[in-house]
Amino acid sequence: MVAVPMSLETLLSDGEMTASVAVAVLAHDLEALPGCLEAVDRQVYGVAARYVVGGSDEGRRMAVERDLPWVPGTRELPAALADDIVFVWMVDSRARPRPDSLRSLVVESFRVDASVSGSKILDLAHPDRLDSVGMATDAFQAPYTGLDPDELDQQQYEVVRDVATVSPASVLVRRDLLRGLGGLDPAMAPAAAVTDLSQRARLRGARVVVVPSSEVLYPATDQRATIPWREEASRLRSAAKAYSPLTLAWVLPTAVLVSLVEAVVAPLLGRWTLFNLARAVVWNVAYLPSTLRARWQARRGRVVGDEELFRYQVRGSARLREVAGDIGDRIRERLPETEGRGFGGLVEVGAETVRSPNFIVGLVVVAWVLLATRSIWSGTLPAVGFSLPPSESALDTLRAYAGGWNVAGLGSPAPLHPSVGLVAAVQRILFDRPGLTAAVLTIAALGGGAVGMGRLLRSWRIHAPAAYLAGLAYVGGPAVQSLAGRADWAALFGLGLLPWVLRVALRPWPASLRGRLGLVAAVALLTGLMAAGLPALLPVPAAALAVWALLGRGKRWWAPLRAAGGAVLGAMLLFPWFGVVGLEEYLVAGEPAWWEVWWPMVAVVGGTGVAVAVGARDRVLAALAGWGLTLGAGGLALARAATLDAGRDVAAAGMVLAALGTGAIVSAALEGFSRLESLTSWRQVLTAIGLVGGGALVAATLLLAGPGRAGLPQDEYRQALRFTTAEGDATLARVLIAGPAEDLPGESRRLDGAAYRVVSAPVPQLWEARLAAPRLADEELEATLRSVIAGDVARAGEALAPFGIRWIVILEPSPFEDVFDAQLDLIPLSGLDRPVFLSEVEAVRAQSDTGEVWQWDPPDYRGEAQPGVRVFVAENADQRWGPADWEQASWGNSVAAEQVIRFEPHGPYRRQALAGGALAVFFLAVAIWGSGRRAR
Amino acid sequence: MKRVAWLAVAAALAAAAIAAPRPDVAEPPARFDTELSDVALAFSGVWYCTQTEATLERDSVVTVAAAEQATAALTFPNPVPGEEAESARFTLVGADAAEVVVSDVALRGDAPGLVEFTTPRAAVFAVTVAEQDRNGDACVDSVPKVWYLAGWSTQERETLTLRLFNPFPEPAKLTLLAVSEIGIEPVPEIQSVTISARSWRDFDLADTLRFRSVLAFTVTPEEGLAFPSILVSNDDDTASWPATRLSEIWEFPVTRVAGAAPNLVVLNPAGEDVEVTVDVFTAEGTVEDARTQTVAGTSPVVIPLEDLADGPMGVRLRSTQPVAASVVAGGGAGLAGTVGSAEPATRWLAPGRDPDGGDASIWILNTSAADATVTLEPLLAGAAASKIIVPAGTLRQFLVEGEAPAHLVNATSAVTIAWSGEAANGIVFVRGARLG
Repeated sequence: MVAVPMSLETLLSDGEMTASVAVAVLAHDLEALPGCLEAVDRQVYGVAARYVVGGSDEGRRMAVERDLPWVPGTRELPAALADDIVFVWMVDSRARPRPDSLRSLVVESFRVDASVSGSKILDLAHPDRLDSVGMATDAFQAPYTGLDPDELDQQQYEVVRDVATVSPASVLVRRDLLRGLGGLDPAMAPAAAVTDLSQRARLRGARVVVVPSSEVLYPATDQRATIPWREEASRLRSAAKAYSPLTLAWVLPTAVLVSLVEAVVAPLLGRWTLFNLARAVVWNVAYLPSTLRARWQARRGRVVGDEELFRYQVRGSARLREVAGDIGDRIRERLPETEGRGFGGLVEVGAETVRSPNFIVGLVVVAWVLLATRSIWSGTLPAVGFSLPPSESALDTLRAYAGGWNVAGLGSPAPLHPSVGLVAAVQRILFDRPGLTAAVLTIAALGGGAVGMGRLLRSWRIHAPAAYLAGLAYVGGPAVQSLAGRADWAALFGLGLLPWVLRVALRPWPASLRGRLGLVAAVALLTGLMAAGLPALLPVPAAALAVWALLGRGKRWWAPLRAAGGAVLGAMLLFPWFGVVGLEEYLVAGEPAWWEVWWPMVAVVGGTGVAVAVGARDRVLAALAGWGLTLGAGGLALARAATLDAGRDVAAAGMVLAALGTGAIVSAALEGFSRLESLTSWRQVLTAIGLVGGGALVAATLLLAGPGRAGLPQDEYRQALRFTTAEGDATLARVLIAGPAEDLPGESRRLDGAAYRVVSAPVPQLWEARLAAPRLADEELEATLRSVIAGDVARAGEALAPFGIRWIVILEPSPFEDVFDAQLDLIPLSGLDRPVFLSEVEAVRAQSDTGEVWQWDPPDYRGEAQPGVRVFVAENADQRWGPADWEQASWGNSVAAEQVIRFEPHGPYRRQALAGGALAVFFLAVAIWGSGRRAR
Repeated sequence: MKRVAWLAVAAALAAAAIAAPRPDVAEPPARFDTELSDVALAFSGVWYCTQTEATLERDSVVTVAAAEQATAALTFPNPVPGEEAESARFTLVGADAAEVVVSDVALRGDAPGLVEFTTPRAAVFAVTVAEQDRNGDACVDSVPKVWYLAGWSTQERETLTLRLFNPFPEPAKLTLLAVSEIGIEPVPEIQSVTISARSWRDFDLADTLRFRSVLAFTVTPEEGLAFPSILVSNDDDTASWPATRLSEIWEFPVTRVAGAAPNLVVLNPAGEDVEVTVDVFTAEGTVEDARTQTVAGTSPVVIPLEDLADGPMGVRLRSTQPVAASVVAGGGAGLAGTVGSAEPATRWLAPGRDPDGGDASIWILNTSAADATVTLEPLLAGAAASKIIVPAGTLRQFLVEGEAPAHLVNATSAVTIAWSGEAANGIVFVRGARLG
């Protein structure tokens, strides 16, 4: 504890402590400086000296004009103070202290023997609102006020108390302490510098208090108008200066981790913090020598340990708490007619809010999404059809995506489908956890689709209950039940993003260029991400908005053009896949487009739409129903366009379009009924009929939610291929699966009408779903199978072993069953649900000519380097396999054994993929930049 | 007006969707198309020999022959779990043949086996010889969906053993139907049988179905596959032949040697009666419709051939419905049996010299309307080929000379081929192997 110096005793008079005080006005804002000086002049407590600190030449000029001493910076301030000064009152030039602020600070500082005292900060624009009454910090030096947004000052904090730090707007510090500590750290941002000063003072045993009776007005918005990365960097430096090595050992890594988490979550709030972290780290590295010197000074002569600092800190991360609070506010904003009171405030909203239809509908949407995805977030993504789990390593997948080896089937250098890149990028952000990625993406697809549809409809002034229930009909209606029933997991991403594309494209055209650029970038980004899930959706937003332009109300003619522009720009995110796929080839790929609809449900959707379209008096509702009918019918026609040679993805796009139409119809039906006052005319009766249909469609979403797999079929392949793990490392070999094409993982090849394909064990992964064009090995495999079928081969195990095929699984019915049944070296495995054959011949994906088996570390192979030894890699022959000497061995690859055998990336594909990723980041940055208030 | 317009557009789109025809998606085939519709599997490079064996008293000689360069691998599965199969591998250079004595590879009694070639243009014949008897036939290279076996009798001093050989790694579950001149024979122990993987089972029917004039079998695989064959014996000799598929025409180039009385055994597995006609071919010419007989549904019949011609004769069986058939010759020098060929062809492989030093003949039956010039090429380095003309509708016997283990037979018209061997220990008939 630092005692008040004996010399100060002489300053006592009239029963009240007085002291000589110098005022240092920190010229952060020169425009505000005169006002601050005037406020200082009005202080009832006599000031011994006034200084203007900082502000460069202009600051000095203004000081000279007023005949005040000027100090270049806070570092020079302690030396500039006269020896008779007891306290220094540092005031931010934007602050407007009340006349008794300084007096309260001095009196209370004496009374409680405090060395650093801060004022209560009130919002300059709304002086009845609290901004700060001292602050706690977390272990990472982030301040935590404990106040709710816009909390009113009702004198509820009128107690002098110890705090971790105070607002930089007004700080009273003992001069000798300030000098001893070397003043404020000039390298730091203002708020962090005060926190740093407070910590260093506390290490010396000084008290840091807030004096609520000292009131200072301060612009609330400006309080955060510091440079974020400097604050971040300053906090790291402050921690590095104050904490013991033991504390630093966990605080610094955890601080970086917290910043990373914030970087992931903050974009949801329109804040991009990742670069702040990067710059902060780089800055601290550059300032490390200075930090070490400052640390030595700060900890020299300390009288307390870290535990004294911890006493005034909150648990956890104040910043994450703030982010969570902001998200809570956003959620509440999306539940209209409720007051945004922060995440914690949600609990306190009270019965009135809980009873409100908006709140209930919001809760229903959240509950529905959680219910519909429960087996995915609580377990695993079903491995069936095109719904395959992400690979174990996102980085390896991204490497393969960017011009690397496409591991599907027997491999290919052809680019991977963009959905693979999208999923891998998300997985990378989610700490490389495939299960978490699948859960997050599925929830985001359904939840995002429901909320997006709701938000889209809200832009047409549909009330929240109708809008969000229609959102449920959009993501859980009959069309999506069919779409998900085809196990097209990636298509759900497109479903989730489509309404957001429409909503952004329909936004009013901003007045500023920045806003316009931001909007275009947002449309492009959202369209690109949507198309990454289902490329056939690329033209859908423009088409849907064109229909709306013809039918709808309000300003809408530019929206389809924006969507079309977004499609063109968004398509660039799909490279390199987009650059090699032929349009016609893509549109006809897969089984013919055919949606086996349940006609009664179509009749309900159509009947509801017609009832509302004809019955609604409101032209917007009628237009909405008409829009929905047109999209629904168009989507249905598209999904059944087999006669036009349309393929699988076209059908999926048709289903998404039909879902959009269903959502629009349901919203119009529910909204129309909510505006109904009586049932006395035929229009009103039709509207009531529409309600019945709309309600039925909303209720039908439970069909999708019930099983809890987001509508996806039951897991097939984990169970079917589990046996492969019975004997060692299953990844060493491949599985040949034959059966009905719709039951096989992803795409398949056909042989005399029978489908088959090759997958990895123990379960195929997402990047294997789509097969590239057949190459040498594929043709050789087909020839081998033909030989087996023709009876030219009686030892299929031996014939298939070079391809690394160890197991054969038959998903019945398949004519392959009889063929493999009678092979001499295929042992049928009993006790399994389906016919499975194990080859008696050891089959591996890669083996050296000396017999060593090489591990598959997809997409690479690893083994022991052996001079002069070659490894046969059972992938389609390609000269980029290496890195050592490569030779083509029949249809495969013979590579010199050098620990790692990998595929040298295809340069143009790699550059295109990187450019696509960079473009996505660029679009995101421009969208965020252009969405700010200033842009609007 | 606007509402009507877009309602009409929506209705038109909906109508287009409703009217859209369902795509013609080809259902995956239940089975792959193979050359023969009733064949479950046909391995053009693998031959299964069900009756081979090797003891100190009896030994089989397997003749492997190929019309082009090939590698042949013989495998004799060991039915004892965990025991390795015995095997041998060798190369045939060009059109070539070789004899493998089973006891050199697997001296352990019964030893059914298989031979895998690297070419489909190959064949395998197996003859088992003992001091007192001999038997044999061509090995089998295809697996019908249902096997039919026209057998023989279990009269006094006769035995009949049915063998079911499963060379595959999967156990085979089979349903057997035994029929005799008295109709369906309810024999519980053979009605449903399981043959372990890479194993075989023998059923001695002389005890269970004693004193039957003729027995025949239908073998239906329920799971897996197996190869049926029978071994019959009397006081003089033994004979063996495999099961076959059904056909409306069967040709038998050899029916009689050394005075043995020939018989045709016909199995009609269908429920209805069928009428079968026997055409006889001798060196002199053809006797069409030499015998016509009705075979009752689900029953076998023995048609004696001895009185139809003197000396060697070939026969053609024609039937109004598909039947199975075999020729059995007994008495005199011994007992022999074989199955017929359903289709004549221009290229054949046939055994060569008698492995036991007896007299060997290749029988060439030309049932066509054109004369055939037949070239018989001994599959032995340096051996000269022979040519004979087989006039239309006649049978020719080619006496095998030299040491060639097999012959490659080329004909200008489609013929059928068989081989016979006769020695002091008995006679044996072997069906020729047609080259696709």
